[in-house]
Amino acid sequence: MLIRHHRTEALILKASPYGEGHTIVTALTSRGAQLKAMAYGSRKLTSRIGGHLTPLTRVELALYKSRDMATIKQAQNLESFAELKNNLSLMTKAIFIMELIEGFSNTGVGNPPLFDLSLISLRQLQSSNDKNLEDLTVSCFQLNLLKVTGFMPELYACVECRTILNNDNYNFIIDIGGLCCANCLNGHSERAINVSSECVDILRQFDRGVTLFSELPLGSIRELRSVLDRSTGFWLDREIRSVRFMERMNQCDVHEPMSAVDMESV
Amino acid sequence: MLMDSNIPAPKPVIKLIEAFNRLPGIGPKSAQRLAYYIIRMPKEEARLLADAVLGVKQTIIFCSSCQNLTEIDPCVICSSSTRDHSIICLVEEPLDVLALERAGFYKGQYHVLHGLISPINGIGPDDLKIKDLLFRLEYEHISEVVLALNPTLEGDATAMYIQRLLSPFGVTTTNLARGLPVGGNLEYADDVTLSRAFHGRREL
Repeated sequence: MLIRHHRTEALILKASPYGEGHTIVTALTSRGAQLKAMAYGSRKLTSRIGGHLTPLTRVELALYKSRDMATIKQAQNLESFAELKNNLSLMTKAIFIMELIEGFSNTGVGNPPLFDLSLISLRQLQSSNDKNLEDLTVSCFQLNLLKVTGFMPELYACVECRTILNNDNYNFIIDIGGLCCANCLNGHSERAINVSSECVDILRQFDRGVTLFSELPLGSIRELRSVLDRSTGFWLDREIRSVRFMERMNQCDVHEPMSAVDMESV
Repeated sequence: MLMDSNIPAPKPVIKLIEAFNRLPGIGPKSAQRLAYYIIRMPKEEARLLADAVLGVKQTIIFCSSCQNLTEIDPCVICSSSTRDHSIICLVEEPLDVLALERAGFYKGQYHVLHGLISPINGIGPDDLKIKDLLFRLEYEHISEVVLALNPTLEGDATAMYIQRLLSPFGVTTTNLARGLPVGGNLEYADDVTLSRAFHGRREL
């Protein structure tokens, strides 16, 4: 028998306006599958569910599965990530994370570690008190995203000859799946990205679950971001649109809290 | 090509269906229905519709000051001497100006952004009329900018970004109050709305 009513915990990724006051909500369910559902009348001021369906919110949803798209009947906010929403720098990074989650998740096919990773990363980003730490959290999320979705790059041995690598300089080739030794570089040299041993060391630590680092040079963080942005972009096979705004925010390099709540009190 | 060239319909009908199909929210079936409705319409009514579409395209321009849609430049609101020229209300769309004007309590100027910053959809500050706002602040005597943007993630991102840009100008930046809507229900309010309503409480 077809179960038409069901409940699920989910992270709201996107809310697109539809018609007169409706919203199409894209969310990642606790099973790690992508869900698209219709929230009728949610943009009206008196809607009982509209406020709970803002992106970057963990909610409990009651859904009704009809022939086409599921309909959201009830929504209850479980975690609102208020600090991320009240700080432009953090919000920009959280939006980048959500765009990647949307891109790497599938409808129907569940991937529970993806849901856990998403929540852990957003909570960690929320507790970051330093710009470098924010960038590291995003990078750590990117590598673990590749790991849980089956695109983990090889970081320890050459992808071609399986020789264990322990150099000062490494060649990272995205489309063949990771690091490549100098002997196997023939034919790949044009696509090889030269990465420093510090960068590879941080990636290996991310892989082992280390997320706390002492002072890291800015150059290493930038290198890390560059490698991971190119890797995620390649496997996603489309442009990651929020990168441009995030880079713009990084260039501004202003970190004072600028919250919507603060503005109300001006 | 939106239509199958084998469809046995006259070329002008196919052209009309294709034109409707390009409109937002209109699928191929709706486009066909609208096209055949127009075919059945009296000639005079169809001409009025065509004139209205052409008229809008030929006469409507952006006001050089507030960027709202207008027939004359500057628009009626910007050129009015009875309105307060020291306060600008920043809105997302021309429809928001209509909503505020309908309410009738605001007597200042407007500035229409024509969108909100939406990084996930690739819409950045350069796609909005933000530079025009900064130009106004530079050359007009503005004392306050009211950010009347939607309380969404995009609205908040835009408000925070603009507040950052406005700080060197020394103008007072205010945001519309957030909280419980008239006719709303406390039981169904989300955490963020409740917390903002609580922070913005007033003495009776």
